[in-house]
Amino acid sequence: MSDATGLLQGTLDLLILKAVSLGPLHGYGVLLRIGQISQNRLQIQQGSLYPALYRLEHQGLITSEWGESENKRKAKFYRLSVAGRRRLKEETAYWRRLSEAIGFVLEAMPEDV
Amino acid sequence: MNLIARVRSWLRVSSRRANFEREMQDEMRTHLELYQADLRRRGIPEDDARRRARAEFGSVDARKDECRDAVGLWLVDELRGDVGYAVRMLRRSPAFTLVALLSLGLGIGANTAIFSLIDSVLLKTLPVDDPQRLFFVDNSGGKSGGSSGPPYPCFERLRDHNRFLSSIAAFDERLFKVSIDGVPERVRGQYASGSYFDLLGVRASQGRLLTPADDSALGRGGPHGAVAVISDAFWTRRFGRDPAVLGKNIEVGTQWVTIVGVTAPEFFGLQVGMPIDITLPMMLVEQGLQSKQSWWLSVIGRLAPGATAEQARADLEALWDGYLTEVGMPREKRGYFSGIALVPAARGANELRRTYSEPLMIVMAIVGLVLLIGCANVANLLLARAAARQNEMAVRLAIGASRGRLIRQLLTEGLVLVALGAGAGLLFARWGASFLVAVLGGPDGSVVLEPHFDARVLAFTAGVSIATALLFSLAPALRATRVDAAKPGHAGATVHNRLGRTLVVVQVTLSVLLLCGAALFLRTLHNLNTAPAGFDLDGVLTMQVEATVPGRIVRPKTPPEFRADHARLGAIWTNFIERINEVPGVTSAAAATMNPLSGRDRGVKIAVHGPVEGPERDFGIHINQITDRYFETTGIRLLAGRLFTPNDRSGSPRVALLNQTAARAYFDRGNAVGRKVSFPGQRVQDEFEIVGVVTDARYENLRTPDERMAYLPVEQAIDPITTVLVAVRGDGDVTRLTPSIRSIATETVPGGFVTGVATIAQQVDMSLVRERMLALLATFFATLALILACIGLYGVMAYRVARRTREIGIRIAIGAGRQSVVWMLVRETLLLVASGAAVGTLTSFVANRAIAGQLFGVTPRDPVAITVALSVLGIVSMVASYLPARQASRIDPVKALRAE
Repeated sequence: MSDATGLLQGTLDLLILKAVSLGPLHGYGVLLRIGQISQNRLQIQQGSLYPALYRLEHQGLITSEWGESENKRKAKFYRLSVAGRRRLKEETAYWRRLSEAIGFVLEAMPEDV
Repeated sequence: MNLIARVRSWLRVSSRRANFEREMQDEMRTHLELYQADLRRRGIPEDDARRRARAEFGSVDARKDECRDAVGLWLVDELRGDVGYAVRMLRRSPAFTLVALLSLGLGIGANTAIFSLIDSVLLKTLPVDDPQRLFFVDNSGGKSGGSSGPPYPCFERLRDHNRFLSSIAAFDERLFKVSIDGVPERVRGQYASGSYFDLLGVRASQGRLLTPADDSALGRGGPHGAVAVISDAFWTRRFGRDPAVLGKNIEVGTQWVTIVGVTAPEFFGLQVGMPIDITLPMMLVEQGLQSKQSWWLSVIGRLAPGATAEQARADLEALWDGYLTEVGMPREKRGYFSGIALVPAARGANELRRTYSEPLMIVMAIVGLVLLIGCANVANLLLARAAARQNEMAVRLAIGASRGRLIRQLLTEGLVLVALGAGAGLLFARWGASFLVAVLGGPDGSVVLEPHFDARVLAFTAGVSIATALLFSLAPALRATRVDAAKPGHAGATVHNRLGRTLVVVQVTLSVLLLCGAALFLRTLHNLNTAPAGFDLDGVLTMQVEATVPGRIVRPKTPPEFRADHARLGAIWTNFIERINEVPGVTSAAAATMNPLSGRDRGVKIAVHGPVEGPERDFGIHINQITDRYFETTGIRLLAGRLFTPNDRSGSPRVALLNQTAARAYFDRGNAVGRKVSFPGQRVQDEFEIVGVVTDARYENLRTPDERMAYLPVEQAIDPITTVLVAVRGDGDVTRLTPSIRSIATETVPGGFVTGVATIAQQVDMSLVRERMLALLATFFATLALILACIGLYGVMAYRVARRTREIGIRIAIGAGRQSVVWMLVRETLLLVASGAAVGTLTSFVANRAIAGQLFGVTPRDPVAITVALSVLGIVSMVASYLPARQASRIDPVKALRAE
């Protein structure tokens, strides 16, 4: 279950938004950041990262600019846009409600029915 | 919000595609390098690290494709592919491409050309400040459009006392005789009050424009003397844009004026097509400024901020009402001058609009129909191709293309076709519009139009093109893609046939409409050309001669002085004409204040002395003041009494002639001879004895019924005649007499200025410009429509023959005669043509009512026109269907059966 393939549809977008909300990141940095803050419990499949980034930028949720990476290479840094911040808030709230509800369901005992 | 972001992002990446690709490449490479470096740091050997990084990332090309899809670039890529494919398809079938491009190019081009004219004549607002707040101040009983403003003293009162206009100006258009460095020419110009340019917000491109100070002293102008402003076009044409024109003195009429400025290039006056080249201050007008009851001015005003048109109108009307009462025109006697109307002036005076709006709309409808026929043609061709491409479509559907995808591709092909057609069309439109402008301008260039192919016109063309593309390619695209992937090559054929035949019927219907219209316009032109005008028009040369009589501003005051003044001018003309009559080759010559179709007119009130026996109670009458051989020269005949003789001079008893219409209007059975009349309200109050009655003639135009007319000898004139129209009848080519007449004018007439030399036949032609334009365009486009329809007919026929080769082969093999095969095929086509003709005839009964106003001597249901239209259609469609049928009948049955 720690594999990214198990992620729910749309969760990848949420994770990316959260990752870049903590500070501008290049693509590889997004992977590392997600690994780091999930204490390596979530691993994003490398291939699916870029289409997601391009899609989010296309939707105006993140913006990008060129900068220099730690190994002195040109790299594209992504940051959250105003619309992205709003979306992140909505998605976070939604996710909380959903996981709470599912948690509630899974806690259910025979006598509760 | 999201949508806007997407569109912006899409535009950014698709417009900077190379950049996008390079950045994507860089970004992914950086990713791989960073990951590889991390792996190395964890102690994995170089080669393994690279391999693992690549493996985990997956195919870079596949990732790139996913990224492109994420930002919507697939649309661009598909479109590019489709366009390339469409171009290849078109190149592969040049005959189809040529016919389609011609159909579309001519249709779109004609629509663009006509629209550019309609735009400049009917739609465009004047190039002045805030034109929507400009209004002509007219009397409400008059024809609107700035030709019937109040008398000048009334204008002054409106100017000084109105409360709702921020500015008001008077102007009066004239044809001036302008002499520059001693060379005279005729120039369209105007007198305008000092506030005119300021009111309109026109700027000067050189020098300055008129100010109220320039228009402050009667007869003199202002502190800077008599000044004038010229147009940019005139500055270019006459002075080669020489800045030294400022301060130059030129002679306008009898007045020397100094040029002080040039108007901005975009300003042409207030009338589209009639550009004003020189403007003089109102105070230089020679006569009429102080006249309290002369209606000759045009007045324009600008609404004050916050004021409504109705407030301004009511305010002006109150002032005008007071004025008229003061000058002795109580309400019940005003008749025509019943009140004030504010006519919107945003698009300028509407003389040209009134004349041309209906013809232009008719032509627009005609070219619209032509484009529809063209569309039907292309649709038909595409249908035939669609049938041929069924296998292709079936295969593409079978390997997974969606139907939407195929329709999109077929629509792209349509758009490519129409884009090429529109390109050709714009070339055609430029040429066509120049041609139309030349036709409308008339041989003397009196109407100056410059159609602009600006953003509005191009937007129109683009709109028409896209609508066209959808119209002709949607149905074939829907048909073509409705195939069963499992059964290629089976469906669709019958569908094509039904739709294709419907399209042919539509084409024939529209062609019949256009042919009927063309026939009606041709008949109208013919009727007008042969209408009884009352003149003998052959071999008569005409021209205008103007005398310059100095000191005319200081006018005589008493009736005897007026009489002497008129007689003196009259004697100049008598002498001039006598000299022309001595020229060898001249049969007879005369001078008159009006000639047939000369565009000049003079209307007065007549008073009949003694009982009025006729039915007419309107005493308005046209008046023509002539030298004695006028009737002989123009071919107007005497009906009763006598004509004028050389003895009817200034000293002899006053005599007049009436035309038949006038005589019948006021006298018992037209017995007017011996009765007395006078012309009240004129300077000369003489009593004229009617000595004869002559036949009617059409002066204004060939359509207007005969109007009442009185003739007076030129030496007994009631007006000071400084300009006459000369008519000269001679043997052979009368135009060769021009040089001798010119030199006689120079010798005998003071300042003798000759313009407008033409034969009367040429003037008749000029007066029929509109009718000729309609007939010409209607015929041209009807012919085009017929050709297009025949191509459609031929196409359907040829297609059917091709599909039925085998059947025809069998028929011939089992003994059918070639004649019967031909007949079998032709019969089907004729059925289509007959149904189209029937629908077209019925439609034209209804539709042609809209053009009734432009017809003369024929009704919209004229049987001759319909017969002609149907016969032309019948013959041409017979040919178009016979050719493929004959070819089919020559099929070799053996080959035909082996072919499949």
